Amino acid sequence: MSSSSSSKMIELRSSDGETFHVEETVVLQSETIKQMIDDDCANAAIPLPNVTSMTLAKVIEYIKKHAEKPKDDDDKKVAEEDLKKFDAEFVKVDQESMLFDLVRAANYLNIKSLLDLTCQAVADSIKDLSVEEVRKKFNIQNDFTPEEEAKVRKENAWAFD
Amino acid sequence: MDNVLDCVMPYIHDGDDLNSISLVCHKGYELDCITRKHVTVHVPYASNSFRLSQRFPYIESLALKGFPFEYFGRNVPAIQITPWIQEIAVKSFKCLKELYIRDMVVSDSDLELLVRKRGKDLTSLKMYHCQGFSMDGLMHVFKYCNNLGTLWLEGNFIKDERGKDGQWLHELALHNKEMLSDMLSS
Repeated sequence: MSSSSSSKMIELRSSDGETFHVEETVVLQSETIKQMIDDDCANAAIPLPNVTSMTLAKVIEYIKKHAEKPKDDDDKKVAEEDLKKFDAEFVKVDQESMLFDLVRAANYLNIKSLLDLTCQAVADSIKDLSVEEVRKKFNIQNDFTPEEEAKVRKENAWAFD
Repeated sequence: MDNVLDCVMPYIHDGDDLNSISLVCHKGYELDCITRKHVTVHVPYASNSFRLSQRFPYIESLALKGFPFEYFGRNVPAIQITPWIQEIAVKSFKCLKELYIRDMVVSDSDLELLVRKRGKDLTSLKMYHCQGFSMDGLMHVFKYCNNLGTLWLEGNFIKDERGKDGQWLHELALHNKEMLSDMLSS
Protein backbone atom coordinates (compact mmCIF):
# COMPACT_ATOMS: atom_id res chain seq x y z
CA MET A 1 0.00 0.00 0.00
CA SER A 2 1.14 3.52 -0.66
CA SER A 3 2.75 5.08 2.38
CA SER A 4 3.31 8.51 0.83
CA SER A 5 -0.35 9.41 1.01
CA SER A 6 -2.28 10.11 4.13
CA SER A 7 -5.58 9.15 2.49
CA LYS A 8 -7.88 7.02 4.58
CA MET A 9 -7.73 3.31 3.76
CA ILE A 10 -10.85 1.34 3.03
CA GLU A 11 -11.05 -2.38 3.55
CA LEU A 12 -12.84 -4.50 0.96
CA ARG A 13 -13.71 -8.16 1.42
CA SER A 14 -14.19 -10.42 -1.59
CA SER A 15 -16.77 -13.22 -1.83
CA ASP A 16 -14.09 -15.78 -0.94
CA GLY A 17 -13.10 -13.89 2.21
CA GLU A 18 -9.90 -12.18 1.12
CA THR A 19 -9.45 -8.58 2.28
CA PHE A 20 -7.95 -5.73 0.28
CA HIS A 21 -6.89 -2.32 1.55
CA VAL A 22 -7.39 0.52 -0.89
CA GLU A 23 -7.11 4.27 -0.49
CA GLU A 24 -10.47 5.94 -0.15
CA THR A 25 -9.70 8.39 -2.99
CA VAL A 26 -9.09 5.44 -5.31
CA VAL A 27 -12.08 3.39 -4.27
CA LEU A 28 -14.46 6.34 -4.73
CA GLN A 29 -14.46 5.54 -8.46
CA SER A 30 -16.99 2.92 -7.50
CA GLU A 31 -20.34 4.66 -7.12
CA THR A 32 -21.61 1.69 -5.10
CA ILE A 33 -18.80 1.94 -2.55
CA LYS A 34 -18.98 5.75 -2.55
CA GLN A 35 -22.63 5.44 -1.57
CA MET A 36 -21.72 3.05 1.25
CA ILE A 37 -19.06 5.45 2.53
CA ASP A 38 -21.48 8.39 2.28
CA ASP A 39 -24.01 6.36 4.24
CA ASP A 40 -21.38 5.65 6.88
CA CYS A 41 -21.43 1.92 6.21
CA ALA A 42 -17.68 1.64 5.63
CA ASN A 43 -16.32 1.58 9.16
CA ALA A 44 -15.70 -2.15 9.01
CA ALA A 45 -14.59 -4.13 5.96
CA ILE A 46 -17.01 -3.69 3.06
CA PRO A 47 -18.27 -7.10 1.99
CA LEU A 48 -18.53 -7.62 -1.77
CA PRO A 49 -20.40 -10.92 -2.02
CA ASN A 50 -20.60 -10.74 -5.82
CA VAL A 51 -16.90 -10.27 -6.52
CA THR A 52 -14.21 -12.95 -6.16
CA SER A 53 -10.70 -12.08 -4.96
CA MET A 54 -9.26 -12.71 -8.42
CA THR A 55 -11.70 -10.28 -10.03
CA LEU A 56 -11.41 -7.75 -7.22
CA ALA A 57 -7.61 -7.72 -7.56
CA LYS A 58 -8.04 -6.84 -11.27
CA VAL A 59 -10.61 -4.16 -10.47
CA ILE A 60 -8.27 -2.61 -7.90
CA GLU A 61 -5.41 -2.68 -10.40
CA TYR A 62 -7.67 -0.76 -12.79
CA ILE A 63 -8.95 1.89 -10.39
CA LYS A 64 -5.46 2.48 -8.97
CA LYS A 65 -4.10 3.13 -12.45
CA HIS A 66 -7.02 5.41 -13.25
CA ALA A 67 -6.55 7.37 -10.01
CA GLU A 68 -3.04 8.50 -10.94
CA LYS A 69 -2.95 12.25 -11.35
CA PRO A 70 -0.64 13.84 -13.96
CA LYS A 71 1.62 16.58 -12.59
CA ASP A 72 1.31 19.10 -15.42
CA ASP A 73 -0.09 19.51 -18.95
CA ASP A 74 2.88 17.83 -20.65
CA ASP A 75 2.62 14.98 -18.26
CA LYS A 76 -1.13 14.85 -18.91
CA LYS A 77 -0.69 13.93 -22.57
CA VAL A 78 1.81 11.23 -21.75
CA ALA A 79 -0.45 9.94 -19.00
CA GLU A 80 -3.45 9.79 -21.37
CA GLU A 81 -1.47 7.75 -23.88
CA ASP A 82 -0.21 5.54 -21.12
CA LEU A 83 -3.74 5.00 -19.83
CA LYS A 84 -4.99 4.06 -23.30
CA LYS A 85 -2.26 1.44 -23.57
CA PHE A 86 -3.06 0.19 -20.10
CA ASP A 87 -6.76 -0.16 -20.95
CA ALA A 88 -6.01 -2.03 -24.18
CA GLU A 89 -3.79 -4.48 -22.31
CA PHE A 90 -6.17 -4.72 -19.38
CA VAL A 91 -8.97 -6.36 -21.39
CA LYS A 92 -6.61 -8.85 -23.03
CA VAL A 93 -7.36 -11.56 -20.49
CA ASP A 94 -6.47 -15.23 -20.92
CA GLN A 95 -9.85 -16.52 -19.89
CA GLU A 96 -12.98 -15.05 -21.42
CA SER A 97 -14.79 -15.82 -18.18
CA MET A 98 -12.55 -13.23 -16.50
CA LEU A 99 -13.78 -10.56 -18.90
CA PHE A 100 -17.38 -11.51 -18.07
CA ASP A 101 -16.53 -11.41 -14.35
CA LEU A 102 -15.10 -7.93 -14.84
CA VAL A 103 -18.31 -6.80 -16.60
CA ARG A 104 -20.36 -8.11 -13.68
CA ALA A 105 -18.04 -6.51 -11.12
CA ALA A 106 -17.98 -3.15 -12.94
CA ASN A 107 -21.76 -3.26 -13.12
CA TYR A 108 -22.19 -4.21 -9.46
CA LEU A 109 -19.59 -1.73 -8.22
CA ASN A 110 -20.91 0.87 -10.66
CA ILE A 111 -17.58 1.96 -12.14
CA LYS A 112 -18.69 3.57 -15.39
CA SER A 113 -15.34 3.72 -17.22
CA LEU A 114 -14.55 0.09 -16.41
CA LEU A 115 -18.03 -0.97 -17.51
CA ASP A 116 -17.55 0.93 -20.80
CA LEU A 117 -14.15 -0.66 -21.34
CA THR A 118 -15.13 -4.26 -20.58
CA CYS A 119 -18.53 -4.17 -22.30
CA GLN A 120 -16.96 -2.72 -25.44
CA ALA A 121 -14.39 -5.52 -25.36
CA VAL A 122 -17.16 -8.13 -25.16
CA ALA A 123 -19.16 -6.36 -27.88
CA ASP A 124 -16.08 -6.33 -30.13
CA SER A 125 -15.50 -10.02 -29.46
CA ILE A 126 -18.93 -11.06 -30.78
CA LYS A 127 -18.50 -9.06 -34.00
CA ASP A 128 -19.53 -11.13 -37.03
CA LEU A 129 -20.10 -14.29 -34.99
CA SER A 130 -22.83 -16.70 -36.01
CA VAL A 131 -25.85 -17.22 -33.76
CA GLU A 132 -24.47 -20.56 -32.63
CA GLU A 133 -21.10 -19.01 -31.79
CA VAL A 134 -22.78 -16.28 -29.73
CA ARG A 135 -24.73 -18.94 -27.80
CA LYS A 136 -21.56 -20.83 -27.10
CA LYS A 137 -19.68 -17.74 -26.00
CA PHE A 138 -22.33 -16.71 -23.48
CA ASN A 139 -23.26 -20.29 -22.63
CA ILE A 140 -26.86 -19.64 -23.63
CA GLN A 141 -29.40 -22.40 -24.13
CA ASN A 142 -31.55 -21.88 -27.19
CA ASP A 143 -35.13 -21.67 -25.85
CA PHE A 144 -36.78 -20.94 -29.21
CA THR A 145 -38.93 -23.57 -30.85
CA PRO A 146 -37.75 -24.21 -34.44
CA GLU A 147 -40.88 -22.38 -35.66
CA GLU A 148 -40.19 -19.32 -33.49
CA GLU A 149 -36.57 -19.20 -34.57
CA ALA A 150 -37.49 -19.49 -38.23
CA LYS A 151 -39.95 -16.63 -37.85
CA VAL A 152 -37.38 -14.26 -36.32
CA ARG A 153 -34.77 -15.33 -38.86
CA LYS A 154 -37.15 -14.58 -41.72
CA GLU A 155 -38.08 -11.21 -40.29
CA ASN A 156 -34.43 -10.28 -39.75
CA ALA A 157 -33.70 -11.15 -43.35
CA TRP A 158 -36.39 -9.13 -45.03
CA ALA A 159 -36.39 -6.02 -43.08
CA PHE A 160 -33.86 -5.12 -40.53
CA ASP A 161 -30.21 -4.30 -40.65
CA MET B 1 -24.09 -15.66 -18.05
CA ASP B 2 -26.80 -13.87 -16.01
CA ASN B 3 -26.64 -10.16 -16.66
CA VAL B 4 -23.54 -9.88 -18.87
CA LEU B 5 -25.66 -9.70 -22.00
CA ASP B 6 -27.85 -6.98 -20.42
CA CYS B 7 -24.74 -4.93 -19.71
CA VAL B 8 -23.20 -5.47 -23.13
CA MET B 9 -26.29 -4.81 -25.28
CA PRO B 10 -25.94 -1.00 -25.38
CA TYR B 11 -22.42 -1.44 -26.77
CA ILE B 12 -23.48 -3.50 -29.77
CA HIS B 13 -24.48 -1.28 -32.69
CA ASP B 14 -24.01 -3.32 -35.83
CA GLY B 15 -27.33 -4.52 -37.26
CA ASP B 16 -26.01 -7.95 -38.20
CA ASP B 17 -24.62 -8.50 -34.71
CA LEU B 18 -27.93 -7.42 -33.18
CA ASN B 19 -29.79 -9.77 -35.52
CA SER B 20 -27.62 -12.59 -34.20
CA ILE B 21 -28.39 -11.62 -30.60
CA SER B 22 -32.11 -11.61 -31.38
CA LEU B 23 -31.81 -15.26 -32.41
CA VAL B 24 -29.83 -16.72 -29.51
CA CYS B 25 -32.75 -16.98 -27.08
CA HIS B 26 -35.98 -15.27 -26.02
CA LYS B 27 -34.14 -12.96 -23.65
CA GLY B 28 -31.71 -11.87 -26.37
CA TYR B 29 -34.66 -11.21 -28.67
CA GLU B 30 -36.45 -9.10 -26.06
CA LEU B 31 -33.30 -7.17 -25.15
CA ASP B 32 -32.75 -6.37 -28.80
CA CYS B 33 -36.37 -5.22 -29.16
CA ILE B 34 -36.10 -2.63 -26.42
CA THR B 35 -32.49 -1.49 -26.85
CA ARG B 36 -32.06 -1.16 -30.62
CA LYS B 37 -31.62 2.48 -31.62
CA HIS B 38 -31.53 2.28 -35.40
CA VAL B 39 -33.36 0.15 -37.94
CA THR B 40 -33.10 0.11 -41.70
CA VAL B 41 -36.18 -1.30 -43.42
CA HIS B 42 -36.15 -2.56 -46.95
CA VAL B 43 -39.75 -1.62 -47.47
CA PRO B 44 -40.54 -3.81 -50.52
CA TYR B 45 -39.71 -6.91 -48.49
CA ALA B 46 -41.13 -5.83 -45.15
CA SER B 47 -44.47 -7.13 -43.95
CA ASN B 48 -45.90 -3.96 -42.48
CA SER B 49 -45.17 -0.86 -40.48
CA PHE B 50 -47.18 -1.99 -37.46
CA ARG B 51 -45.03 -5.08 -37.05
CA LEU B 52 -41.93 -2.90 -37.01
CA SER B 53 -43.28 -0.59 -34.32
CA GLN B 54 -44.35 -3.61 -32.29
CA ARG B 55 -40.90 -5.12 -32.40
CA PHE B 56 -38.79 -1.99 -32.00
CA PRO B 57 -40.90 0.59 -30.16
CA TYR B 58 -37.93 2.64 -28.91
CA ILE B 59 -35.82 3.24 -32.01
CA GLU B 60 -34.39 6.74 -32.36
CA SER B 61 -33.44 6.47 -36.00
CA LEU B 62 -35.28 4.86 -38.90
CA ALA B 63 -34.26 4.39 -42.52
CA LEU B 64 -36.93 3.41 -45.05
CA LYS B 65 -35.66 2.22 -48.40
CA GLY B 66 -37.55 1.38 -51.57
CA PHE B 67 -36.11 -0.35 -54.63
CA PRO B 68 -32.84 1.41 -55.38
CA PHE B 69 -33.08 3.24 -58.70
CA GLU B 70 -29.38 2.61 -59.30
CA TYR B 71 -29.99 -1.10 -59.74
CA PHE B 72 -33.49 -1.26 -61.08
CA GLY B 73 -33.74 1.86 -63.24
CA ARG B 74 -36.95 3.85 -63.52
CA ASN B 75 -39.14 0.83 -64.25
CA VAL B 76 -39.38 -0.42 -60.69
CA PRO B 77 -42.68 -0.29 -58.86
CA ALA B 78 -42.97 2.95 -56.95
CA ILE B 79 -43.27 2.32 -53.24
CA GLN B 80 -45.65 4.58 -51.35
CA ILE B 81 -44.48 5.70 -47.96
CA THR B 82 -47.99 6.54 -46.69
CA PRO B 83 -48.58 3.53 -44.36
CA TRP B 84 -45.20 4.08 -42.73
CA ILE B 85 -45.82 7.78 -42.19
CA GLN B 86 -49.22 6.92 -40.73
CA GLU B 87 -47.55 4.56 -38.28
CA ILE B 88 -44.97 7.17 -37.28
CA ALA B 89 -47.68 9.84 -36.96
CA VAL B 90 -49.59 7.87 -34.29
CA LYS B 91 -46.53 8.15 -32.04
CA SER B 92 -45.62 4.52 -32.42
CA PHE B 93 -41.92 5.20 -32.23
CA LYS B 94 -41.99 7.66 -29.38
CA CYS B 95 -38.20 8.17 -29.30
CA LEU B 96 -37.83 8.71 -33.04
CA LYS B 97 -35.57 11.65 -33.88
CA GLU B 98 -34.00 10.79 -37.21
CA LEU B 99 -35.67 9.70 -40.41
CA TYR B 100 -34.02 8.74 -43.67
CA ILE B 101 -36.18 8.03 -46.71
CA ARG B 102 -34.73 6.67 -49.89
CA ASP B 103 -36.16 5.70 -53.30
CA MET B 104 -39.78 6.13 -52.28
CA VAL B 105 -42.89 8.06 -53.27
CA VAL B 106 -43.57 10.75 -50.70
CA SER B 107 -46.56 13.03 -51.29
CA ASP B 108 -47.04 16.52 -49.87
CA SER B 109 -49.76 15.16 -47.60
CA ASP B 110 -47.37 12.46 -46.30
CA LEU B 111 -44.87 15.16 -45.41
CA GLU B 112 -47.58 17.30 -43.88
CA LEU B 113 -48.89 14.45 -41.69
CA LEU B 114 -45.38 13.50 -40.63
CA VAL B 115 -44.32 16.96 -39.55
CA ARG B 116 -47.64 18.04 -38.08
CA LYS B 117 -47.51 15.08 -35.71
CA ARG B 118 -43.79 14.55 -35.24
CA GLY B 119 -42.08 17.69 -36.55
CA LYS B 120 -41.05 18.85 -33.10
CA ASP B 121 -39.37 15.50 -32.36
CA LEU B 122 -37.32 15.32 -35.54
CA THR B 123 -33.71 16.47 -35.43
CA SER B 124 -32.73 14.98 -38.77
CA LEU B 125 -34.66 14.42 -41.98
CA LYS B 126 -32.91 13.05 -45.02
CA MET B 127 -34.51 12.28 -48.37
CA TYR B 128 -32.69 10.75 -51.26
CA HIS B 129 -34.07 9.80 -54.69
CA CYS B 130 -37.65 10.40 -53.60
CA GLN B 131 -40.49 11.72 -55.70
CA GLY B 132 -44.07 12.90 -55.42
CA PHE B 133 -43.68 16.02 -53.32
CA SER B 134 -43.37 19.71 -54.09
CA MET B 135 -42.27 22.87 -52.33
CA ASP B 136 -45.64 22.80 -50.55
CA GLY B 137 -44.60 19.69 -48.67
CA LEU B 138 -41.22 21.11 -47.82
CA MET B 139 -42.86 24.28 -46.58
CA HIS B 140 -44.67 22.19 -43.96
CA VAL B 141 -41.30 20.77 -42.96
CA PHE B 142 -39.88 24.27 -42.50
CA LYS B 143 -42.94 25.31 -40.56
CA TYR B 144 -43.26 22.44 -38.09
CA CYS B 145 -39.73 21.09 -37.65
CA ASN B 146 -38.36 23.64 -35.21
CA ASN B 147 -35.65 21.35 -33.88
CA LEU B 148 -34.36 20.09 -37.17
CA GLY B 149 -30.56 20.26 -37.20
CA THR B 150 -30.13 18.35 -40.45
CA LEU B 151 -32.26 18.57 -43.55
CA TRP B 152 -30.64 16.74 -46.40
CA LEU B 153 -32.28 16.55 -49.82
CA GLU B 154 -30.47 15.00 -52.73
CA GLY B 155 -31.48 13.53 -56.04
CA ASN B 156 -35.20 14.02 -55.39
CA PHE B 157 -37.74 14.83 -58.09
CA ILE B 158 -39.37 17.85 -56.58
CA LYS B 159 -42.40 19.08 -58.48
CA ASP B 160 -41.75 22.59 -59.67
CA GLU B 161 -44.45 25.07 -58.86
CA ARG B 162 -44.22 28.67 -59.77
CA GLY B 163 -45.28 31.53 -57.56
CA LYS B 164 -43.92 30.06 -54.37
CA ASP B 165 -40.43 31.41 -54.75
CA GLY B 166 -39.25 32.90 -51.56
CA GLN B 167 -42.18 31.65 -49.48
CA TRP B 168 -40.16 28.71 -48.19
CA LEU B 169 -37.47 31.14 -47.15
CA HIS B 170 -40.09 33.08 -45.25
CA GLU B 171 -41.33 29.93 -43.45
CA LEU B 172 -37.80 28.91 -42.63
CA ALA B 173 -36.95 32.34 -41.27
CA LEU B 174 -40.09 32.30 -39.12
CA HIS B 175 -39.69 28.83 -37.64
CA ASN B 176 -36.13 27.64 -37.90
CA LYS B 177 -33.66 30.49 -37.73
CA GLU B 178 -30.79 28.20 -36.86
CA MET B 179 -31.12 26.16 -40.01
CA LEU B 180 -31.52 29.26 -42.12
CA SER B 181 -28.27 30.69 -40.81
CA ASP B 182 -26.60 27.34 -41.50
CA MET B 183 -27.88 27.39 -45.06
CA LEU B 184 -26.82 30.97 -45.64
CA SER B 185 -23.35 30.48 -44.20
CA SER B 186 -22.59 27.31 -46.12
